[in-house]
Amino acid sequence: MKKNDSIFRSSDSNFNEPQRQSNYAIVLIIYNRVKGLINRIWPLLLIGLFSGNFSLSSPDKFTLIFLGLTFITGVSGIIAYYRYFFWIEDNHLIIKKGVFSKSVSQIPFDRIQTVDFEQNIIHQLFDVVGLKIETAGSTSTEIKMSALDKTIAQQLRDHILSQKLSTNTDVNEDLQQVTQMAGEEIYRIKFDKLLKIGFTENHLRSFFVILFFLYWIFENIKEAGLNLEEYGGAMYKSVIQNILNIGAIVTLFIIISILVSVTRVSLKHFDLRLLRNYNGFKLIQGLFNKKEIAALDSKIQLIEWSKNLLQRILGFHTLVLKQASSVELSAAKSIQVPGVSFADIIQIKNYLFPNRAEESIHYYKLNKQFLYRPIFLFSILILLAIAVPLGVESYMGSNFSFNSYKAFIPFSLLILFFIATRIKKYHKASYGLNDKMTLMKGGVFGFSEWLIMHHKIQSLSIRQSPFMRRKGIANLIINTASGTRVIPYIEIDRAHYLFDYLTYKIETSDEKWM
Amino acid sequence: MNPFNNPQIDVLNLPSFESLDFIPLETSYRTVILAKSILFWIVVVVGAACFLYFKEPTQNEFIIKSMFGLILFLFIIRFISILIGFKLKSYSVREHDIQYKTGWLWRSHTIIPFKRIQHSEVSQGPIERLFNLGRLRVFTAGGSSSDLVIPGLTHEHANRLKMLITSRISSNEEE
Repeated sequence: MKKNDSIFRSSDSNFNEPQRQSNYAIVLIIYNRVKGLINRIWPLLLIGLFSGNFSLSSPDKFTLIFLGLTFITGVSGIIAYYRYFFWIEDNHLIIKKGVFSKSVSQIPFDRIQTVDFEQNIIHQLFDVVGLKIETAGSTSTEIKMSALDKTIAQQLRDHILSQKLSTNTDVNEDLQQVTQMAGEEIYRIKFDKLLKIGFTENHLRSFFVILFFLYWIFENIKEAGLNLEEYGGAMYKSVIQNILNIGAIVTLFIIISILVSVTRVSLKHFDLRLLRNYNGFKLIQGLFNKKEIAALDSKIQLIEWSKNLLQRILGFHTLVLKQASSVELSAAKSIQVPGVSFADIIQIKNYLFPNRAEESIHYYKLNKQFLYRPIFLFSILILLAIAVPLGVESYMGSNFSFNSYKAFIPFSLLILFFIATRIKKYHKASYGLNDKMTLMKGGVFGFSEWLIMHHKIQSLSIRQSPFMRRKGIANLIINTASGTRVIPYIEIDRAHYLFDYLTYKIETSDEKWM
Repeated sequence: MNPFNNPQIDVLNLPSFESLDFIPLETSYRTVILAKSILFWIVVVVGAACFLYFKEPTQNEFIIKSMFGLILFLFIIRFISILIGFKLKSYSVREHDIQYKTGWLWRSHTIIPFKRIQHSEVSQGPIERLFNLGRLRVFTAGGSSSDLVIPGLTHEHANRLKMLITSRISSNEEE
């Protein structure tokens, strides 16, 4: 490594010779491979642990297999490190690798979209960075390097970007700017705010994750030969006791859910900073996994922000800038900024649409059927859920118990709740457009909005179900390079008009979508 | 509700797709989808028969009858939907875009401007080869949900369309 360093300093055309990654890459390669192995077989491991025949002192067949696999993985990781070379040859990044079958990939510089650094806790320990190179085009792949010396990574990035610059000026100048310049900090999350953000997360998600996880463990323990239900037998006491138990369990669950959300958010968005250059954003965040994501304005295809009920009270929004990515719709490529105020959103939008592009937007409501139709369908479904058991009961003839009638009250409450939310949803939903962009607002208890610039649209569709055709309404589907959005339940004339209008806008616009 | 107007462009003279003549697919393609469908249902019937023969030794006649009744019913529905749906499949090519309509009960109409096409290809299945048919696939950066497939073109015509698209893409890039 020291030797490499000196080579770099002595000459400018440095990456011509094939070279390996940083020595520490061995640790990271093995770490990643063992992690992958454990990911694949950990249900088995857990069963092994629970059934008690997993021990290192008196290894049995199972333990031996696991240790063997780990050993093979480790050795193959070391071989993989020594067989991995990268170098640069006339504006191509070339990577030669492979343990059993060798492969050589050549990536032309002008196909390279972004060069991102990644630092997880092991990277930080050895002061190295992982490199992620993303390329354009639908058939392309992304390239990952496990670990490079920081200076070498920086040089490689500079080299690629400067070469790109000399071959193709217009787009890559921007890329150069956004990846290299630090930029002006426009938004930062302090720790106390981070806790608030974690607290206002959607806890339902954490709740279900925990529930699923517990269920999964329960099933696996059962498979391993332990039966928890036996121990639970004593729990069936009185009704009141049961209700109390359920109440306690639910409260506990809620507390755990909140804790999990807060922890998850704190780890992910720790010390989040959003930086702005003259034509791109850069997001840096993370405690153990320090990440920086760059987003050029030209790569951003779709802008969304939303707030739930809790976030509405604190005035927090979650802003998502979705980028076009070679990996289809990967979440990693969208910039997610939690806890932003409405003023922040306006500021960020001002960066993205500087020429008062947001002026004179006309808003339109959706068709009334957006309200009626789901209510109708939901009610039918619920009525069926009541009527079918009733029908079966009376068909079976036996003793005509009125059990299903008891379900009538909660079910009708459910219908009423559904109607209420639907009315709210209908009143909040509207779509708007001017000559630059289309947007749609929505939400039930909270608020959400998406926004698409017309020249970022890839294709359009009009879809109609038989019912919609009868009522003269349609869904308009807008496809972009980072996701599909639907304007539902609009009059067919309006849908046709928008179809023609947006097509006209795409075809007459000189702006590139990326 | 605001009247739908927009001062910057001449709203009334927007090119409208409604005034277009959509071109139907080759009639031999109907035979192809029917053949495919029949093949599929033969597999289903054979599968069901095998299942009943090997798995259910009780030979409950009611179950057998209702099972084959259901299969026949689904087959007839599919048959009708192919016959009616075929007439509704049509495409059109304009100076700047390509459009395709499909669907009998659930209708869909998709447009892709040439400017947004990444690449296109012509493919041909074994049955389609017998009838000298091909299908044109058009890919955008919008992922699989926004891609367009026009089946039931003669193979030459599909290739001509592909050439047209390729020339459009390259001429757009030169601009």
